[in-house]
Amino acid sequence: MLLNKQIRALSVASKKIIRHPFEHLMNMTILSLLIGVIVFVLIINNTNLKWQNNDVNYPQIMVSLADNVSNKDVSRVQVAVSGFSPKAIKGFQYISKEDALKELQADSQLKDISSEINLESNNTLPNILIINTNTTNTKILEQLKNKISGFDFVKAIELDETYSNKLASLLSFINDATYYLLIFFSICLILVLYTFIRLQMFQNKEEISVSRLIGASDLFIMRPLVYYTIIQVIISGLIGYLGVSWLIASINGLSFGINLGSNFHFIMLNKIQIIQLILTLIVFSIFAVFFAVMAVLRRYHPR
Amino acid sequence: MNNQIISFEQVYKTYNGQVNAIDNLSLTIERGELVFLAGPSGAGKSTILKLIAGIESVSNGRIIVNNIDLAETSQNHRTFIRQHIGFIFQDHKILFDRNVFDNVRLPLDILGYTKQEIHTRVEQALAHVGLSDKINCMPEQLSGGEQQRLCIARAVVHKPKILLADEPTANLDRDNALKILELFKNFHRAGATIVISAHDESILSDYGKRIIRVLNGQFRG
Repeated sequence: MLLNKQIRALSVASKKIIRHPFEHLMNMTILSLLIGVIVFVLIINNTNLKWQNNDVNYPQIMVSLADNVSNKDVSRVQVAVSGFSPKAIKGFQYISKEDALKELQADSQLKDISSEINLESNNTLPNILIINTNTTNTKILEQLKNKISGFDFVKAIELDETYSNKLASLLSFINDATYYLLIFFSICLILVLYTFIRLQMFQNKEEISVSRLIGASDLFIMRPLVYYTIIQVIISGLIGYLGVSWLIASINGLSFGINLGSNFHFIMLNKIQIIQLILTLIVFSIFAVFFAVMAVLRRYHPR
Repeated sequence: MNNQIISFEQVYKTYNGQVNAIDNLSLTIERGELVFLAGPSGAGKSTILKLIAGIESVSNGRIIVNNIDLAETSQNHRTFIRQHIGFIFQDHKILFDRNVFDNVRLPLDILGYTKQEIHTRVEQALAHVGLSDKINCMPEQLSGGEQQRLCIARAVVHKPKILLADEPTANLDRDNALKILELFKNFHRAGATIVISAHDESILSDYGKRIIRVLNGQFRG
């Protein structure tokens, strides 16, 4: 019996859209634009995550070590740092004073400097451990700095906190902006759906009135509206997604190398994200229908 | 087993706290009974029928329908109770954007019948009221009497235990009115409890059934 009711509701909803396609064109256009914007924000979020992982230069901690430091000492620092916050560390690079001198001498432009300041007889270059971090969290970076300074063979620690703070602000702005935009446009979508459903109910108020008088429950009235909204949202979502895909394909042809990294391009939604988006749209539709039907029927007593 | 299917116990119904549509009304209707509510327009007949169907709520008193106290049920629950009552409205309440078949099937859709059952039952109901040949017509193509019969078909298609008819013979000539009343007699013979309101008592006299006269929301005679 429940299946019959579902089939009937689906059939009523489909017929309504098929019989009056132009009546629903305006609704679908607005929904397509709105869902397109949501898809675009999701793509920006995807792209942002990839960009943050691959192309962003996170702050480096440069540790100057004593002249007599051994490889064992360097390993001790590495173990301590990795153990403190493994996720915050991307890697290490140790440049001993001998390696630094070799590099200096190998560089055609800098080799004169090494001979002028007589580095060969008295190598005053420091042993350097570069810690490549994976975070802009100044608290973690500060704690790392304190941890490293605890070793007696560490002479100095350099961390560009200004860069770190600027980068942290920029990344958090991008993250927050995408999340707030997603929330904002999702609320807009629910409100638009809510309004469309109320208009639809207003158009069908005679049918609803008669149905109520002869025993139609809230669910009976709600069911076709749920299917009607889901069908509209899915068709609009498809149109919106195709539109954004075309736009992204055009944008990805452009070069962003200078500002955003040579490999920068927008990342489309993957299959799981598309399924999640469809399910979310269905949930939004159900919510919007539920609230619209309840709002209308609560104040509506057929006579 | 209690044989009463409808019972009013000192029922009052006021609109806006002022107009007394029903004033201290008590009555019982037994299962399978055919009852006429007679009285002039505005006497409270429609209100009594709407109270039985749970479309209106009592201001005071109790109404028990099929052993359910309507005063103690929510609006939603009363909607479910209406699924088992057939109601013929004075203004027909026909949906003019769909054909005869789709109008009659509505109660069956609400109850979740299958497509096959719907076809069978709608055809039976339309045959009972003599509208088989109008199954695909739009309501505006029907005469006043045919629209009334369409409304009756919709009310009986799900074979309700209680059938309420609000002025089913209003706006019909005597011949058509008698045909409609004949239909109700047939449903009564099939076992349904029927309450019919009518302001023209002359057409009821031939039926020899129980007639309740209502005036200003109270019984008279």
